[in-house]
Amino acid sequence: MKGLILKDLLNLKKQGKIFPLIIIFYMILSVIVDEATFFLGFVVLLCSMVPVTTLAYDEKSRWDKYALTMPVSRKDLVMSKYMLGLLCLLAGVLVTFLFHAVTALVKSQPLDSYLMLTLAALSSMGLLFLSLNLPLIYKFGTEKGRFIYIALAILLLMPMTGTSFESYQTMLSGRIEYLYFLPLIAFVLFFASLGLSIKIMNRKNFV
Amino acid sequence: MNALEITNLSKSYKDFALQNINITLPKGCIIGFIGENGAGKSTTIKLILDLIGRDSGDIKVLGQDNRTAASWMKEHIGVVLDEACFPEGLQAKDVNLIMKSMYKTWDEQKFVALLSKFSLPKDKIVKDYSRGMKMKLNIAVALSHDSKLLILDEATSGLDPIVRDEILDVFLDFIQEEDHSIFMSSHITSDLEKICDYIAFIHKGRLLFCEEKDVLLSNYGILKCSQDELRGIAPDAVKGKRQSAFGVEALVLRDKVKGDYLIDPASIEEIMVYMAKERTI
Repeated sequence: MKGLILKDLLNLKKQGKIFPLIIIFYMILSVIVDEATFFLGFVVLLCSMVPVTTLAYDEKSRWDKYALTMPVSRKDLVMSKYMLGLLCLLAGVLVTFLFHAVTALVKSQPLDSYLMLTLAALSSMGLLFLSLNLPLIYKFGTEKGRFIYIALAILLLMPMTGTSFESYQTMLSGRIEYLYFLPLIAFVLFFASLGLSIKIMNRKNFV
Repeated sequence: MNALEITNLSKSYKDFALQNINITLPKGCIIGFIGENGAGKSTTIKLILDLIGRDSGDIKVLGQDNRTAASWMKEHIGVVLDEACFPEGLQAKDVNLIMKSMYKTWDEQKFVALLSKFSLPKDKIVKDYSRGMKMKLNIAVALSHDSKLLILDEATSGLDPIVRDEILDVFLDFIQEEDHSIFMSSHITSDLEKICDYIAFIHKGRLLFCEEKDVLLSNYGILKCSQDELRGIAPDAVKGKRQSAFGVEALVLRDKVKGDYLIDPASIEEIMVYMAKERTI
């Protein structure tokens, strides 16, 4: 499994050079407009996209078929992608945390009291994104999987569009600590999704 | 112990079926797997590797079941598929790093030696490789761990004759160890004629024969005669024929042809083409 993750990281090396640049660009942007949450959300989104990107590369080079001729099982292939997702999210959270810590230090302000909560909520969103996306990609491939994912996301978000932002705020006001449960829910779904993806993979034929 | 034992292997699709394949590859030997496009060669190889599910039958690789002992088996086989599947952003030195954590028995020195033998650059990315170079990289990986059986699906097609010859030498070198064996499918029958001990011929999902090459070459011959003369020969001696205005060329079993005829030696390619033709008509 270590080899599989290593392969993804090495293969991303070329595109990877742009990643720090994008991150630095948004860092500067968020300092200028003095809006840190935006940057935070962006980094987490970027990180949770990584496994999906690597799956698209794998599909293009038909890597899975070849990897399965090595001492690697189908389960290993799936687990390596989920692991990669976790690692990238962790890295993203770490980068944003450091960014906030440093800016707080420079401005000699205390750390935003909601920072940890925002981080937890956003990385949970990242996990949910992966949990929904990966099984779809394993089942339908990256092309079709992406469309189904978008369709599904719109369907899920539809009921929310009617309600106003204020009503969410009043709904959450005073109970914002509940957001700490979000990571828990996200992790449960993440593992359920992992199990589902392994099941899909085990039935797959590699032509 | 046999390097590979396929018994009663079947797999059916909507428009194609692999039926009752039986192939045995004794340890220390090379078997050439021939057949036209779509005959079932790649399907058989994918079944050996358990990349697709089979309907029935048994497959033993190096004496072990290919499913229950999968991870052990994969450590000891080297596989070259009909396309090289390396991610495009990798360099040969990345491949070395990756394989080091894939195979317990990865031999870095051997890999580096093979890279320079095949004149593959270490820092060029796979995307910029030619097809031949990708195949060579793939072959280098297949040889750089403790492989006891090489499974090659069209490994030498798309390569020029000089490189092919080089690679055949590498294979012959590999087979020097007495517990090493090779299962290779190829369209290039002249390559197979050079190095194989056994030939298995698959046609439309059925195995027509799996025979020692020398026996095959001494059993079969090409008879050139007239139509009338051919009628005088026992029908079960004739395995295929090609007719022209000047006479008939027929693939025959030498010892079933009674009488004084001139029979030329048949090549593997001729045996394959004549037999396939006979089956189609």
